[in-house]
Amino acid sequence: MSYGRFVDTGTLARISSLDLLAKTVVEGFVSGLHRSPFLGRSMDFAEYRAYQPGDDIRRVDWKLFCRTDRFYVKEFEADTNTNLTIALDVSRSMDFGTGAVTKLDYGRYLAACLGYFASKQKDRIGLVTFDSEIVDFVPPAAKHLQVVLHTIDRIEPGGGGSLREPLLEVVDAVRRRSMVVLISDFYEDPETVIRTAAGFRHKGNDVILFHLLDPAELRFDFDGELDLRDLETGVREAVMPDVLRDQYLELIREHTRTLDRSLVEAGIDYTLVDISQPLDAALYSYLSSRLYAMKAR
Amino acid sequence: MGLLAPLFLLGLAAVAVPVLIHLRLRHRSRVVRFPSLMFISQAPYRSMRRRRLRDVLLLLMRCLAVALLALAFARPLWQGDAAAGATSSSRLVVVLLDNSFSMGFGDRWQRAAAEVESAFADLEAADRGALVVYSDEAELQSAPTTDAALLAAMVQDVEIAPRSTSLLPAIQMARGVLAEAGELGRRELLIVSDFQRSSWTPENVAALPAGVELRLVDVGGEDDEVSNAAVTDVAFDHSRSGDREQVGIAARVSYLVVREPSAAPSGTPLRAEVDLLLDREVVQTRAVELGADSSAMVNFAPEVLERQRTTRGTVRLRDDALVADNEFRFVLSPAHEVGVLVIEPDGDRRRGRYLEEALALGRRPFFRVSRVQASGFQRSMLDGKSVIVINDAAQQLSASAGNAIAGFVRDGGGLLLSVERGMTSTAGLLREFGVTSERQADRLSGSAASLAWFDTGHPVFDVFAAARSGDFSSASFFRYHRLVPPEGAAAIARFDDGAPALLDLMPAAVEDGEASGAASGRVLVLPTSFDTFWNTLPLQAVFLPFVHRSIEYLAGYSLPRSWYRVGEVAEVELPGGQAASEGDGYVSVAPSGRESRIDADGGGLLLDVEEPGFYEFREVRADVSTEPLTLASNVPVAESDLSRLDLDEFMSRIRPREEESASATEAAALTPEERERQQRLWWFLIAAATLVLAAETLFGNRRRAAAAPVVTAWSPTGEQS
Repeated sequence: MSYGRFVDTGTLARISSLDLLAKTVVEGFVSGLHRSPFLGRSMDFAEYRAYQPGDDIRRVDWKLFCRTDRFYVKEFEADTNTNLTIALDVSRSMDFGTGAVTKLDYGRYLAACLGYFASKQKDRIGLVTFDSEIVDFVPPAAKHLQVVLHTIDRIEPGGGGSLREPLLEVVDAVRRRSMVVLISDFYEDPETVIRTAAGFRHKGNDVILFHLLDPAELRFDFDGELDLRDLETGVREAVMPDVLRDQYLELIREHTRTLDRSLVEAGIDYTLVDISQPLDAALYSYLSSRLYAMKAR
Repeated sequence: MGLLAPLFLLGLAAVAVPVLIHLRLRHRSRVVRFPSLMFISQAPYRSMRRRRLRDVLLLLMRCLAVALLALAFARPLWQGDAAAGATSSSRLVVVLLDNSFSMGFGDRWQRAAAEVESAFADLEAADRGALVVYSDEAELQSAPTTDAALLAAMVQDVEIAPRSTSLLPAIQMARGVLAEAGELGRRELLIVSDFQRSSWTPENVAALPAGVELRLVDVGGEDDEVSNAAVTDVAFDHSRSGDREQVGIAARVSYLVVREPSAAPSGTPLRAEVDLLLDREVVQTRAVELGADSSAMVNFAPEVLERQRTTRGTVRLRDDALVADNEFRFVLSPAHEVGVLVIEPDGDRRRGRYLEEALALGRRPFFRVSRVQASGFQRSMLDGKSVIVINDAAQQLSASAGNAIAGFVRDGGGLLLSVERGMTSTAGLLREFGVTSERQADRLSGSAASLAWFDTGHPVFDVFAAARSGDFSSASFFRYHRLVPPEGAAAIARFDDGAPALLDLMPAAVEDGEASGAASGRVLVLPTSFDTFWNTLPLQAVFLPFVHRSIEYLAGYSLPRSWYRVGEVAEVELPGGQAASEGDGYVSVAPSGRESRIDADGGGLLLDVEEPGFYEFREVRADVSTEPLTLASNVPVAESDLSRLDLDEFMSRIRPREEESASATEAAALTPEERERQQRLWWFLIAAATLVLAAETLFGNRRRAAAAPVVTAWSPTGEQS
């Protein structure tokens, strides 16, 4: 599908209200799918279960009662709402961007949109921001959209980043099967990333990784002579981009390939996002994963 | 390749300076924030830039400039290979062509030119030739060249110069040309001349570089006997009859015959006619007959000179093979007059008799003498006078007269003061000049005093400088005043007891050309009389020139020259003896019609006399209508003597002896210093370093201009280096 008709990130950067931004993106995105935005509400049948006392008798499937003489209650997807926990990396390395927005901005927009989208699906929304430790934690709840958006709005770039320690805490905190969306630039050893993501997966969660990278990181199209300064450590390295480019690109390609391959093998969705591209691409990836999760359930 | 100062090669270490500067400056790169250096640090060649230098071309240029400078200071030189020179077949032929005016005798010049053209025509394609034209000065017509056509054209352009001959400067110039050419190939020096004796003095010694082959082409040696007559000098005898001034002219005519030792003397005398031309018209003609190697004065009848006008005169000898010295030119101008006022004591008319008679004999200048007694002196009598002589009359002068005389001296006039009996009363005037008398010396008893010393460097006595030219010792002085000269005065003559015999009170006026202090004129004080009362000086032969020179000195008179010789520097006095002021412009018109501007720089006009004939000087200002100044010039007399130089003796003085030839390579070979001085490779290295530095500056500026500030657009906060 073409992303050309989606709202570009430059335009999004001029929208100050995350609520409006998320609404704009999600409504536009959903209408582009030519499907009803109210996907779950009594429309998509999921399963039958035995009637239990306290169930609404309006949901008893009477036709099945006639055939089987037992009370079964219809369960629909809309009713099977899930937890969505968005883990957003706010480490200093995310505060980088050569276009209109930084990776952190893009992550904020993506988190807001996912939260809004999930809210439309009646999912419970939670948010975790972290760098080398958890910065903010909003537990998943059906009415936490505004809290989540407000939290996202207050995000400031943190210090050095680390996936493992803070996210292990999140793994413990996520008690119910959830969808966990991990947004980061993943400047970590792939093994660490995989193990961390696998921690969520092993607890029955559906895990989606959004790997945000700036075009400069993807193409390394600098010229002249540079002193590169690490945003997190402050370490400087003098480089000749012309000389270094091929090696760098090979290394980062190998990194993303390793992540992609290993994560897929572990049943984890992995999406590499170029932050110069519109948000809709990431949303589409999320939607695909969610649909797959719903059907698989 | 060698080095004169190899230690300067240590300067090559300075090449490290630009390298270090470049290494130091290489860190001036942009600082760019980057999310993580995780992948950068994994790249094996990330630090390659550390070993790379910026602006390698600039660095190379700077290093090259430093290296060139160090090499230049090390004074490099090509050692050359003398052995290679012996095997080289190319030649360098330097021709010295004599163009003095004696070369105009007969067909000598034509033969000389043909010899030179032939020498250049024999040059092969790889051979080089150089032409030096010389008379008493040498001029290199062209550096050594292989262009035979150019050399031939230069020979055609050379003309005979009205100058004498001197071989030494020409040989020295040729030596320089030959030495600069190095030792490669054969080197020849060809001298084409008539080889007059006057062109080379026995004291002259000239050395040629080793290996130079010397050839002489004598164009004057074909005739067994040559003769030349010349007008070599002119003398004048001015006389005056009333207001009319006459001048008698006598010309010296010389007749020199040069013959080969083996040739018999022909004994043919010179019979010729000599013309006197005044203002280009022949006014008198005399016949002259002279034997070989003799000279005679040819006297012409006195001619009347026009007043206030300069007359051009020429004495011309007809019928001669060498015409350049047959004419002698001069200018005649009326003799100057010097106004002299003699103040005598009242009632004694004999005192100034010797003095007046001496002055009456003056010819150049004439002395116009006025006489007055002390009591009759009036200030108006000083008009038109240049000198006052107070002959023992100062004691009778009034105070106002004394003041007038002092003022006259201050205004530049001359004063000759003779003190005798009235010394005490003359103290008033002498005090004006600071002179006092110690006492009066009386030498009547015993031996009389004599003049023991006089300053022959002083203008008054310079005519007596030559031996037996003046005898003051026979003059006896019986009485005189022992004067105490004031500070700054000079005793230019002394008696035998050491007392001053003649005081010059303003000697500075002689040395500086101008007086300082109150008096700007000149004052001589004679402590005895001008008559025979106290001494016998007026009876001596030296009295007349002594008086004349004293008055001329006091009047500031100098005898104008009637002619100059080519090669001299003439100082032309301006009309009325005025000093040329800075910026006065004159145009000199040479006899050939060539005009050149001369700027007066005080005193007179200075001119290099280069042509025989009459020079004219005109003021540049258009509003001046005065008669132009005229100067006469003649060829050098020495060149008229065609006596021949002994060529064997000449060769012995110019060529290394046989025993020295064996070690010629070592002895005459150029030292490394000389070789380096000739090659001047350092000069080219300095020039190359300058060019490299200029290019570096240009290139560096362009790079700086091109390196506009870079905004790191990929930084979200706009940070840039």
